Amino acid sequence: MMPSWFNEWWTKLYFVFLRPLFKWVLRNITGQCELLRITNEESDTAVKVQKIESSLRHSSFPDLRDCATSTSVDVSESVKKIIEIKNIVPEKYPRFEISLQNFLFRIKSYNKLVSDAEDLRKIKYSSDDPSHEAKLIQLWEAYSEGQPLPERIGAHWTDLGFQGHDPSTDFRGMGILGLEQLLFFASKYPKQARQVLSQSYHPQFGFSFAIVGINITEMGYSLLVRRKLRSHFYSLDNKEPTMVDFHQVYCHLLYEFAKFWFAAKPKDIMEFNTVREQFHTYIQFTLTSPSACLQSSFQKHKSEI
Amino acid sequence: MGLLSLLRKLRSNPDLELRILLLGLDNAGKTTLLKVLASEDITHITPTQGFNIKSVQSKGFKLNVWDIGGQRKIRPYWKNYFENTDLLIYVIDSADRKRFEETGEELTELLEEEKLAGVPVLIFANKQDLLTSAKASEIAEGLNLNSIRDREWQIQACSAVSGEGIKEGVEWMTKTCNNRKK
Repeated sequence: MMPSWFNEWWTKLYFVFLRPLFKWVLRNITGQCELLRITNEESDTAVKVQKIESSLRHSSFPDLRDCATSTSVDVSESVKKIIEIKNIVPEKYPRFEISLQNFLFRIKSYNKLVSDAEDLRKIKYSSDDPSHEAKLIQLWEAYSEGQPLPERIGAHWTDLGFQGHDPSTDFRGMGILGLEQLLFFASKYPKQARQVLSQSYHPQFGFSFAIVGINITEMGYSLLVRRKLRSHFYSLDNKEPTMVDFHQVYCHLLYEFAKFWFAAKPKDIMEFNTVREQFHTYIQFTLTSPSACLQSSFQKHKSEI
Repeated sequence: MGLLSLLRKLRSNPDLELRILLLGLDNAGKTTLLKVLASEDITHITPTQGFNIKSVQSKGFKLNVWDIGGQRKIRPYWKNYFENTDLLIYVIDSADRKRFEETGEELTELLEEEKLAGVPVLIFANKQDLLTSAKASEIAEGLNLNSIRDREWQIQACSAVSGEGIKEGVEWMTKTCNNRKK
C-alpha cells in the first residue's frame, strides 16, 4: 500500500495542478469548457449528470460548487450564471441551456431526497404522537386486509414480524422513515406486500417481515446517502424525483430481497446477515450500470409492459 | 479513544483470542453496545435479524464479539453459539420494568446451561440515561444475583448511548479473562 503522505500529496497535486492543466489543454484544443464537453458527449444521461456533478464539485467558483451540493439552488439563475462565467455563446450551442438545466434539476433533486429522507429518519417513533400512532394503526389495517387492530399492545404484532408486543421500539435508527416505507408498500402494492408477508410465514425460509422491512429501509437509505442511487435516479424520466420515488425503490428492494432469500435456501434465520450482504453486493453491482433501473415488473406502468 | 483499543493495550497475552457472547432480550441495546465497543456510529441501528459479529485485531490480540438477536423467536438459536465462550455479556434494559421477570428467567436458564458452566458473566444494566431506569443494585437484588456461586460475575450500570459505565465493564472483562488464561 502507498503511504498516506504519498496519497495526500498526489491528490493535492492532481486537483491543484494536473486537473486544471488537463482542463486547460482540452479547452484550448476543443474550444469548449468541461461542462460543455460533457453536455455534448454521446452517453447516457445518468453518466453525463454524474460527470457534471463532479465537475461542479471541483469548480473554483463557489456558486458552481453550490449547484453540486445545494437542495434549494435556483436552477434557471444558476444556468444563466454558468453561461456567463464560461463565456458560452448560446447561438453556437443552442441545446446547452436546456440540457444543463435538466442536469442541474436532477442533481438538486437528489440532494433534496437525501435531506428529506434524513429528516424522516431522524424523527423517532413516539407513542405520545397521535400522528405516529395513527400511522401504526393504518399499517396494521393495510396488512391485515382491513381487520381492525385488536389492541394497541399485544402478541398479534409478532404476526406482522415485529419483535415483541409493542412495535414502537422496533423502528430504532430508521425512525418514521421505516414506518412510512412499510406503509407505502402495502398501500401502493397491496398484492405484492401481502405476498411477501405470507412468504415470511414459510416453515423453513420464514423471517420476521417488519424487522426485515426496517432493515431494508436501512439498506436503501444508506445507498441513497452514499450517493449510490444516482445511476437510478439520474436515469428516471422524471427529472425531479421525490420521496415517493425513493419509496418505490424501497418496494423493489424488499420484494426482490424476499425472492433472493428464497433462492438462497438459507438453513435458518441466523443466515440473514450473510444473505443480506450478498443481496447488497448484487444491488450495488446493478447500480454500477449507467442506466441502472431499480424497478420490479409490478411497478411498471401497464403501457410499458 | 475507542474502548476496544483499551483492550488492545493489553499485551501480556500475545495471540490471545477471546470469544465473547452478547445476549439479552430484544431492545436491550446489544447491537448499540457492540458498535460502541467497536467505536462505530450508533445512529442507524435496526433490530437484529440473526446475529452480528465484530472482530477487532490488534497486536496479536483478537476479540470476537457475537451479538445474537434477542426476540423470542430467535432465542432458541442462542444455544448454537455457546461452545467455547470465554465470557458472557448479558444486557438488560433497566427502564423496561415490565420485562424484568422475563429477562431474569432467560438469564437463569443461561446460567444453568452446561456449555456455559463456569463462564464469567458481565451483566450490563443498560439505559441508565433514561429517567425511569432502575438502579443496578435494584436489578441485582431483583435477579438474586448474589446467589451465583459457580462463576465470576459482575453487574455494571451503563448507558451504551452516552458511553457511561462501558469502560468499567470492559476493564472487568479483561481482568477476568487475563486471570483465567494465565
